[in-house]
Amino acid sequence: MNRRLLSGVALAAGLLLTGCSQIDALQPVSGGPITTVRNATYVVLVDQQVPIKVAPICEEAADAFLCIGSTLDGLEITATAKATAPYDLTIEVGGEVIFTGSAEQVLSDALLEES
Amino acid sequence: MGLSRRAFLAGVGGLAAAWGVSTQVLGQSLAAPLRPGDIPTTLLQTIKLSAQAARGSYRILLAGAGEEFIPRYDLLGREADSARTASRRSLIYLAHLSDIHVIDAQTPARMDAIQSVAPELFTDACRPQDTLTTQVLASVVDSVVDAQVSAVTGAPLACALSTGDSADNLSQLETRWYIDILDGKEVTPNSGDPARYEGPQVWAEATYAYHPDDPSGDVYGAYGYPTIPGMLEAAVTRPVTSQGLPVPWFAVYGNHDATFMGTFRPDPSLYAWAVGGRKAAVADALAPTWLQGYASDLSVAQQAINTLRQRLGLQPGMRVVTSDPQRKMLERTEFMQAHLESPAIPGPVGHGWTQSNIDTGETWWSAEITPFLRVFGLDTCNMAAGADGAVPEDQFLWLRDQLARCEADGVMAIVCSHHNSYTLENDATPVTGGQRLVHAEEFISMLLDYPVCVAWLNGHTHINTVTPHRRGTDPGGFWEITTASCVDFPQQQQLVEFVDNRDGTLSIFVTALDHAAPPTWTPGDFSQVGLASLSRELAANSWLADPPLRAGSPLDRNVELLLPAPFEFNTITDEALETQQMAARARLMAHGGQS
Repeated sequence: MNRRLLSGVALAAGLLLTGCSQIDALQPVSGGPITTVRNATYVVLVDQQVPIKVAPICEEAADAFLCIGSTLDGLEITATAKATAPYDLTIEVGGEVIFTGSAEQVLSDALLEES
Repeated sequence: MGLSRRAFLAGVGGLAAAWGVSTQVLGQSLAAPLRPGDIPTTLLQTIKLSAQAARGSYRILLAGAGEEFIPRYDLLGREADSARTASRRSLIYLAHLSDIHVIDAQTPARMDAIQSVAPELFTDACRPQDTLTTQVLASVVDSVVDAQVSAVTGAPLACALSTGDSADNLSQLETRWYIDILDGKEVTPNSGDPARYEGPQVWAEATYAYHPDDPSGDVYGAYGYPTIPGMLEAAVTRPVTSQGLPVPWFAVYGNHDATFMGTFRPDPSLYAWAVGGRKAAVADALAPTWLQGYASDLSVAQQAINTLRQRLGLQPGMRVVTSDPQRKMLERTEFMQAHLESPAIPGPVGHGWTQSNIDTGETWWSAEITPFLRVFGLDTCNMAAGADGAVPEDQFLWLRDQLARCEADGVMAIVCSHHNSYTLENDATPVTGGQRLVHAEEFISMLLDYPVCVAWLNGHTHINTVTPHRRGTDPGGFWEITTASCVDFPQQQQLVEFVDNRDGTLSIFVTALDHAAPPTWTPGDFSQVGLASLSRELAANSWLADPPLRAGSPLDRNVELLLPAPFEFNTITDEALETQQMAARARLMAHGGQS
């Protein structure tokens, strides 16, 4: 075991010894994968000018995410995504697929200047 | 019906005397009707990454097209009446700041080296832009001053609400710098050696850090970060000036204002470390020494040995730095006390906290912003352990009582906290016990019991996020509005305006606000705004911080959030609104604005 790894182990042990058993709590504040899927879904819906009444609310299932919302004209919006990067995403409105692709890619593209 | 001529003239006279401005000039200004302005916000211009990388994977930033407001009907349950735009009136217009994270990057208490152990876990331990946070905050102040008139209604800015993590690591210096910049004072964001930067960004063995003088040997250089000689010296030795917020501002505790690294219960050994003369350059120096010294169940003798080794800097990987007593870490009430040591303008003295908070130790407050709006500032930090939060039961019961009073008085309520509903699940309690902690589901359920509570402003995740909370199946509920941070990309804050549509609905306009520095950094520009611009560019390229996620979606940035009016708004007369807005406009004029 090299010195750096030893340090890491000691560090983790030290954290446990502090009385904080919540290593999860040490994770950087961020949204995590479910937020990536949520945000990408919203980017696509706005980009495709879907008339949203209730923006999809996302929940995590066993190995996937499911987001459900509705349009102003009463259609159901569903977004499903795998729970592993790059979070392959499928969005349907009223049963019609309007998007398939990577949620991570959607967000990365949204940050780039328009070509 | 608005103000009578007699009431208007009396109001002008009183305000001119109160703010020391010319009665004639003030009168002429206030006689002009409110007009929405083309204020520089993301409605007019956004900031994007260049399509082509400049070096390796590194990209510069460019100006992009503005983003219009998108109406959200999640709580209204139907499309809004388009006629509302012709008749609406502003109830209040305010700025929402959060996660300012002013950093003293040179303090020995900053555990930069921990980032090398688990970069994805400790993304905020050592950012490339850590030395530039005061310049960014001054630029945020500039942007708020520029936005002092609403782009929607022309209403004057009334106040600013800051939802925590103002300082980064309990530091007295960080706390003082942030307060002073918001209050309009000059700071020099340096500690230790007055002439140079001392820290991992110039230590060759700290390969986890960005070395702007020569990044060729670090991970950032490999990514494509540029060589910027002179950046660090300019960042820490040049004074940062601030025009100050033009309105009263209020603050709440964030976990970085209350705990070490925003996560750990403060410990006396840390206080000595902060003001000492040794700083860890690599992770080896941290793990076997400090953390064991910090552990609560080592023997007293072992703790003493560890403390001695730490203080003498005997462990490997330590560097000698110039010690500085000003790096003192603040005790719990000292943070509030620091806010009481501020001027009456922009005010209020204490910025939400009062002497009563110092005397009682209560870290939460309420403020009556206008006769028809009360704000409640909570402390959701967990002092036992963990970055996330919860609502202690005493605050929960207090807030419930306060909201019931608002309901009885016909007054709207805004709740402010640092943690949001996604991060309110921390159940850590001290080994000595503690009061019950209320988590998100119960807290939201309580807020929904009081329709006067129309908005919950918070931060913590550094991601623009808007979340509706609906009251059952019927229309109604409240909007949770989470802003990004000043330290991670997009370094955006928010403008929030509450508008009576005069049709039984309320609109809350949220506008993402970039700080005022130019989108594109000009190489070699080490001016104050230049450094703020550079900070945003460095942050935008930080792959560890996931910039695309933190920007949020279009439904989280410029949005019109609709909901049923919480009560009959005709109880708020035009005359009362005009009186309130006259006072706000006079205050802005005294600050130097054009309102």
